[in-house]
Amino acid sequence: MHPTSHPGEPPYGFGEPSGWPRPARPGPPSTLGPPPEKTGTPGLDGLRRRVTRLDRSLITVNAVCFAALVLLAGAAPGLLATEIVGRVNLGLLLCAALGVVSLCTSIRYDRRYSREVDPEADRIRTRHEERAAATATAAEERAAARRWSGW
Amino acid sequence: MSPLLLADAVPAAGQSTHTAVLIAFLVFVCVTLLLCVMVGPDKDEVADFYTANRTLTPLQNGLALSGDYISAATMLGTTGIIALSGFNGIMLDVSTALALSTLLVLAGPLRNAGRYTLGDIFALRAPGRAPRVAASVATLAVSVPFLVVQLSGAGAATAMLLGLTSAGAQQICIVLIGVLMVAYTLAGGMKGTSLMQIAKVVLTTVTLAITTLCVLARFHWSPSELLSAAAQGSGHPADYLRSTSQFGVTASGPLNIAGLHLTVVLGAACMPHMIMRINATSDGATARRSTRYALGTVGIYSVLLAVLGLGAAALVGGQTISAVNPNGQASLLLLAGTLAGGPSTTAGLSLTTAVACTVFVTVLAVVAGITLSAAASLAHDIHAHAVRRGRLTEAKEVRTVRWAALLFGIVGILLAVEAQGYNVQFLSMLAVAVAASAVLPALVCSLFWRGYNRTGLLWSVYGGAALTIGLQLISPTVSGGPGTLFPTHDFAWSPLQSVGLVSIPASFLLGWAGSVRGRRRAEAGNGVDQDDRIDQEAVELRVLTGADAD
Repeated sequence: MHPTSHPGEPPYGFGEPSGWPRPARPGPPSTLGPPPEKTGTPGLDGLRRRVTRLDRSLITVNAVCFAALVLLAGAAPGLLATEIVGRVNLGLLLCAALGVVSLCTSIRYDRRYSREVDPEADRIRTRHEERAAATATAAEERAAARRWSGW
Repeated sequence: MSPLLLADAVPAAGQSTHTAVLIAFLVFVCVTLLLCVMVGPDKDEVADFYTANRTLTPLQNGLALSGDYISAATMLGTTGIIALSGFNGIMLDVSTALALSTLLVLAGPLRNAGRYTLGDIFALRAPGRAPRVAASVATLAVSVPFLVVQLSGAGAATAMLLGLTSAGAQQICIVLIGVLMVAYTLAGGMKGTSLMQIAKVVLTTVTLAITTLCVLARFHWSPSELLSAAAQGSGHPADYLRSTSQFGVTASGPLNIAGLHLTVVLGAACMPHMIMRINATSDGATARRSTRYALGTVGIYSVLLAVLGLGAAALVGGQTISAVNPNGQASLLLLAGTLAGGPSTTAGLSLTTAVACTVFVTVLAVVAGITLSAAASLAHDIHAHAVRRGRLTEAKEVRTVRWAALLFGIVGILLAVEAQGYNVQFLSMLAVAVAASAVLPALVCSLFWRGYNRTGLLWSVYGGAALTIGLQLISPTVSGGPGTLFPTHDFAWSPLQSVGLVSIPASFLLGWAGSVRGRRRAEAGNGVDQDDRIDQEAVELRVLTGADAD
């Protein structure tokens, strides 16, 4: 519970409904609160690695091509001014190539992400939500049992 | 921009053109307002107003995202820079398109982690009031200059298109556009502005494509012929098609030019209204798909703008373009006046009217998007969370956002009217630089760095924004030369024109240093940072999979 929250109210911070009070939704615990037990989420490390690999490849290709073009424009304007086809020079061709590379790598990135990351992310999320729902149900049952045992 | 010079430059533009443009504007305003009211939110629901209940398809969202991205400043500015600077302008055009690749990497995690505003993402690793206030400050620091430059340029352009030349007429046009902008935001919310963006993208693409075909037809479909004519028309044929160390009044020297490209690539797609648009997608995969579609659309735009810029240099001439406006903002409108026989023929009149409408719709759609994101930040981050600590009903929050849109609109209109007569073009670059320096580092660290905490976030947001604005104010783009805000004063103490070169790495560095300091203070028991209360595993789970997101 955040210190600015009052007992019985939703904790203040990200993840809480903005229009309080609203109907409470059964859901996984907030990301705030006392430090949780470090149980770890199965598969999350592998997912992180895959995401990092995909991000890195997209960023590297685009950044290298972009930096190369900017450096060439600054350091070797004469080279870029070499005419290749009619008045179309190397610089213009490289600009077009950078645009094409950017578009192609983006399409490839999205497709690979959909193929390699999304299914695993869906599995982890579903498992997490099932576990959270089971925990909530168990807590409700325990609370009900305590109520009956009081009789 | 000088209206008289523009009127001189388009000699055939007469009463018929102004009447046609006025009728087209009125029809467009009536139809879009009607549509906005019809599709606007039925109930006072926050999700409906901010994100259209996330019902837009990836294609719709992609088109709206590209509409948000292509502002009037981009459309007119890029065409102008290409017309005046040639190769350097084309490189900037490529950088503008490339910026969406930056957003592509962030789109999925942003949607997974975010809800509505920048503050929701900042609160990921830094809960509390201060990060919410910082998010709102960053949003306003980007949105206010961007709105002022758009409104100011739009007022002048609209007045000219309607044949009005006085300063008073331009100010009236600014006020009217501002009122329309607020009306669209209030009536339509995210759904209404999205519809406008989609309509704008379709109209703009078709119009620009037809104009491009007209340009290419004039040069017998030969790129070489177009390039030769553009180089001749530019007035400096020897270096028009090669990289030079002078980039209009924006940047000079290889370092400043490289900094300009870097700032555009990192900042142009990280503006708060773009982030809000990403949050309107249904999930991370849809956000990514939408960004990909937007990249494709913006790629087409970039090609069209490059051809139109070259066409303007070839057919209008660099001297005429820079006489009307030193930044070349009038080149597209001037070009339209010379094509298809000019405004004296039916085809020429239709083309001129269509291009004028394209500029008008672009301005209206983008300023409505900016107003929505700024108002959402004021209502959601400041009122609902920083002031009311999350205890605000949805109906009250929607009421607040409407008042905030009104307030933001009034401030924007007043500033734009006040800025009339000054050269405020540097403001669009300032907005991009603030986005790259204050927003991007905080977003990247919030999404991907476990060690990021509240102190780090505050240092990077406030430090990045202050450094950018401070360095920009003492740069040669603000004072000390022709084409600056204060040409008769000289307080350009810093030679750096592209301030992002310093402020972007400095903001990342501040984020790291602040996080280290925050962690040490937390360990020392000062309790300023709440980092030990954040479940980093849950945050990572949410960022990567969207678990616990809406």
